[in-house]
Amino acid sequence: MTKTPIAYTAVFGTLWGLAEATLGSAMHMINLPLSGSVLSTVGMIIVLIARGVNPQRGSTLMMALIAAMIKIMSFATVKLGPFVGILLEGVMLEVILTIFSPNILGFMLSGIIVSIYPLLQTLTVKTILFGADFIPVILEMAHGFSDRFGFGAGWWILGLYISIHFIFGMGGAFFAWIVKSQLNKKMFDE
Amino acid sequence: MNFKSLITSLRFGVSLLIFVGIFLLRMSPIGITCLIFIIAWIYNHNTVRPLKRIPFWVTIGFLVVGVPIFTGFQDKTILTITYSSDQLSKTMLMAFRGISVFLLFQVITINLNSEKVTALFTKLGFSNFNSVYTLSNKTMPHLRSILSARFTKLRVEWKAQRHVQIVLDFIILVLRDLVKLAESLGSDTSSDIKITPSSIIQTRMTDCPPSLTVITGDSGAGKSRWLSELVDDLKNETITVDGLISKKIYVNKYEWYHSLHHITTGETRKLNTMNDLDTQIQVGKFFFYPDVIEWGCEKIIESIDANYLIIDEIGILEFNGEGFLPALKTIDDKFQGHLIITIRSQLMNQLDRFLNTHLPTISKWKRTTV
Repeated sequence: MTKTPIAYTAVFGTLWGLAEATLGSAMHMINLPLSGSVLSTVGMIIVLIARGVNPQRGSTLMMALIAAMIKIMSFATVKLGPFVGILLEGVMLEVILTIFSPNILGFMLSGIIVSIYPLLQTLTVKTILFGADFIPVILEMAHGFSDRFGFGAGWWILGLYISIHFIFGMGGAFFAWIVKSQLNKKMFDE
Repeated sequence: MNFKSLITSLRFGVSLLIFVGIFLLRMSPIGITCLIFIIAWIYNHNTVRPLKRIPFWVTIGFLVVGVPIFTGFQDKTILTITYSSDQLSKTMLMAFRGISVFLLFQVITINLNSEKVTALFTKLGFSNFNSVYTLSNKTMPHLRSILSARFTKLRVEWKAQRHVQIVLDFIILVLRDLVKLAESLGSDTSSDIKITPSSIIQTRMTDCPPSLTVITGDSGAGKSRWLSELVDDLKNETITVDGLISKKIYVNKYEWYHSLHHITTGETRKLNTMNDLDTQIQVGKFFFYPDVIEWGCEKIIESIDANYLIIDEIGILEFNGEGFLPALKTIDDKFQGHLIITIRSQLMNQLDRFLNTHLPTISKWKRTTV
């Protein structure tokens, strides 16, 4: 990377890290549900816009490294969960944006990945913590809840939980596309 | 850390003990989990602190309360609520496993810090990481001021007209500012310390002590060389200066150590080594000599009456409550001169928190960052 792409990576990686550290801490402090999904979406929006103005291969991964470093500094010690979470998001977005370029398809695929990714991360972390029975127990719970209350209530709640993630991810990607277009127009006008 | 020192480390032993405990958990879930908790707590009190967080207990509550009530064969009753005793014992075991595995991860990662992670990334082949990260630290104050200025403007405009477009405009203006910032940083080719030692002396002559000057830069940026020049200039001005300067001494192309130089006496001692040393004090690939750190602390405390006190450098050791921190704490409310410290760029983000936590008096002094 030459100096200007490095500067773009540093500036937008720092923005992502600041958002993770400040917004993340605030949301965790008030125990806001789905905070992981909100933070992933914010990170994705920053990444997509940054990749739009600096389409340098590898820059998204480097941004994720910077953001992860800033995030862990907001704690007294290194917390592996958020650190690995940001890095994995960076890796996935880097792969998509390298293959599809930062066009509308790349943006929407990023949205889908960011929708699925927090769910997968939650399930993986919980499976490591609570054991291989965790996912079967969740499914049993949805089944049992539906039996008790009828109307397939357990499955509806599970479906709603997954849908919210998709709304965040796809909505975020669409928002990033609008912002990127307006930003390009503004910079072109100037 | 090599393989031998890894397997003989306390952290490895404690992790192994917890790991074995997790395998034996079925024998006595409550007893073994309590034992793991105590071991983790004794190893480092901070490992158990995150267990206070509510979200951790939400999942456990869901497993232990929700699952037995809604799933399995309902064979028992408590407060008129039926539940499955089979499911309860299963989810209780899951919950104890969750706590134990969580504590295992805490023990493994509790001593990690940003410098170790930075070194790891550079070692893994992210060759640009150090320069991007250094630039990121330079960017931080600019970014904060951009966000702050734009947000103030947004609040004024929002009061006048509550419209979504105003928020969108705010985001676009912030991003445009960031693009301009990146462009200007990209065209800036300077990276060395620009302010000269004599200009610092001139500034400080007009300032009332006490004051704090922070010299920041990457490893090899010339911080110690700059300090040596400052010492010479101060001595020429017959101003008393004391403290410690750390110098990098190369053994060969791949091996070096730091030597601690006492300014007044000229006495020099070897501070650390890259060779395996029987010491608990280690940062990255360096093992520190405890007696030399103690000697350094004594010299700092003895320098309390100097006009200028130099400490090269404050780093991970001090941030972890070791190194020269005991001496700094001693002089915190006693030293009345100009304190000059050096710190790596990567650690600048943590300096405020470090000063506020450990050195409350110094944290309030007038501060200049070079």
